[in-house]
Amino acid sequence: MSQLLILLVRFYQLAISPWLAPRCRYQPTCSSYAIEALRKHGALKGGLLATRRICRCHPWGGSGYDPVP
Amino acid sequence: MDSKRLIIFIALSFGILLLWQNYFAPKPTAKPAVHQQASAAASSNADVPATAATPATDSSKLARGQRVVVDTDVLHAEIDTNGGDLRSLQLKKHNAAEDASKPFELFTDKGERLYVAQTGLIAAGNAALPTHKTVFSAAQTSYTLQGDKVEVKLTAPDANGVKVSKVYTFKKGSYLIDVRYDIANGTAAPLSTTAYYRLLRDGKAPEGEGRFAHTFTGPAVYTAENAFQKVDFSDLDKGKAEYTKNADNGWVAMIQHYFMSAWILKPYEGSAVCANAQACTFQLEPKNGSYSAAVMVNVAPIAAGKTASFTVPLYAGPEEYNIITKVADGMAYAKDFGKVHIFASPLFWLLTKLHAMVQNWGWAIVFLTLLVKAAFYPLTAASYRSMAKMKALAPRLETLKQQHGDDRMKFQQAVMEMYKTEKVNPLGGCLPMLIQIPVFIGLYWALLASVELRQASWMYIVDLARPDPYYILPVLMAVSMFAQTFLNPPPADPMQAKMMKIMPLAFSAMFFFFPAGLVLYWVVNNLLSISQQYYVNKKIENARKAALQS
Repeated sequence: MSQLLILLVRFYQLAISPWLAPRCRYQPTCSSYAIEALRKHGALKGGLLATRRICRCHPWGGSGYDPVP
Repeated sequence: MDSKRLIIFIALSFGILLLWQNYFAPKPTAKPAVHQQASAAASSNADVPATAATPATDSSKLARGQRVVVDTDVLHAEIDTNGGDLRSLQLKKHNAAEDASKPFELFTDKGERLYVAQTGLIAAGNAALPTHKTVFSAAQTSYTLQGDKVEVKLTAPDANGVKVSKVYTFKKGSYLIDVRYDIANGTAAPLSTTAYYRLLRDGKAPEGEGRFAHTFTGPAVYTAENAFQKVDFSDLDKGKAEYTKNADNGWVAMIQHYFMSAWILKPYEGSAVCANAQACTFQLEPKNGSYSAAVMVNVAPIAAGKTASFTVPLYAGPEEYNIITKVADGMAYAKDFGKVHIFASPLFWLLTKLHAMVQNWGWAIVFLTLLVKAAFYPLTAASYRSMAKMKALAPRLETLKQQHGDDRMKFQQAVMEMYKTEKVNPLGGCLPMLIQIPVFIGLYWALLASVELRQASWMYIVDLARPDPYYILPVLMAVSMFAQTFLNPPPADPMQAKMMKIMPLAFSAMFFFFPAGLVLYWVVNNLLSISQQYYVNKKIENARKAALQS
């Protein structure tokens, strides 16, 4: 399951993301963060972490260095 | 690293598959299974025994009798005396998907195709009442609309003292056909009967269904209480279809891309047939390889010696918003926007308003894209500004990468540090982008589902629902994507950089076969992004030059 999700995120990184203006406020970016989180914590917890990260990534949210716990 | 290779492999094979399908695959065999075989192929198939594999050809089982032809300004209909079925219906104002010189055929029983409207009466005590198999008789074999309406009266043989006639009323400029039963109960007992009205259709996707733009084909019901429910053919096969069964209003329909047919229980601002009936029931079921979408009306008992008449209108025509919304409540749902209905339907509404102003669907698309883009301007403007600065910093990013080597954590921290000292503002964030995505997908579906774009011209394009005849838009699309690769900061990931070179080709190959209206939207969207980005890049460059000179 997590492999499948990683594949999806990777597809986004390769095929979609280059065409959009870079927008992520964090390092690592939300997509890299998602992949790392899924690898480390599996589909459920990793997915949740990634979702929460994306929800932080808005104009009034934080920014800067924010690694996967 | 291995997963990277895997992904390259997947992406490339996907791209190759697309290209191959579009350029090299022999068209007729590329279609999956027997499913999509056009009716034209039927004649050449006659000597091929393999056709036995398709039990779906119920059409052969529909008895063929005398045909009664009806012509109005918008319809050409053929009624068979067998059952008084509506067996063929051509829409004169719409052209066929495969051959634009022919009219669009909604109902048909030709070849392997089957899509007809049938009705009948059943009663426990009287098996002679006319069903969809009874042979009717008509006074003429051809009717032509003169004036506002034309009535076609089909008379059934006497059914144990009950006289029944089925009367079609076609109206000028209308896709709404009234189907009326006139029943005279000449027996000594009251007559309790159930009238059934059904649409019988094979499970095939409509002719010319786009390979990249699949839309829903199948039955649907609507009631005021439970709103719109569509049902997949496959769910009917499995017997696990869920939909409202008892209703005293609404409609039951067969829906496909751009066109629909529906039995209307309660016409818009009219009275429901069920108001005088005892009960009305929807019934969706598989039928000898085809599918039936039906409504049963339990008619109030007709006393001995009395007559009764009741009408259920049949809508059979385009899913044109301005027409169907005046046919019955909830008909706008038949324009199927898929899962993005909440985004697509307001966007479509806006599109119709723009069309009312500019009187051209092509320009309406251009202005709608402009409006949506403008609405998101505040969200994107800031990130374009930051992005332009980042692009200037790209060489330093490369040196940082070399400095830190494999230590990603250090590298990421150093990048953030550099952005801070160079006063690159944090970007807009991923969430605003993700929020935009469904809106743009909604816009795509709004355009995809719109029969209004059919045969709508714009500039040199004759039909916005067909591919661009000169491929100008897809080429523009590829060019604009290449232009973007120069404006965006080069991606740090070498894989991404590679993909950026491949994608414009893969995308434009796909767009060659897309409806021109959709490509138009995409091109306008891209051109707007580029000009916005270009403008910001220029501004920041000028500001930097000014700063250097002072």
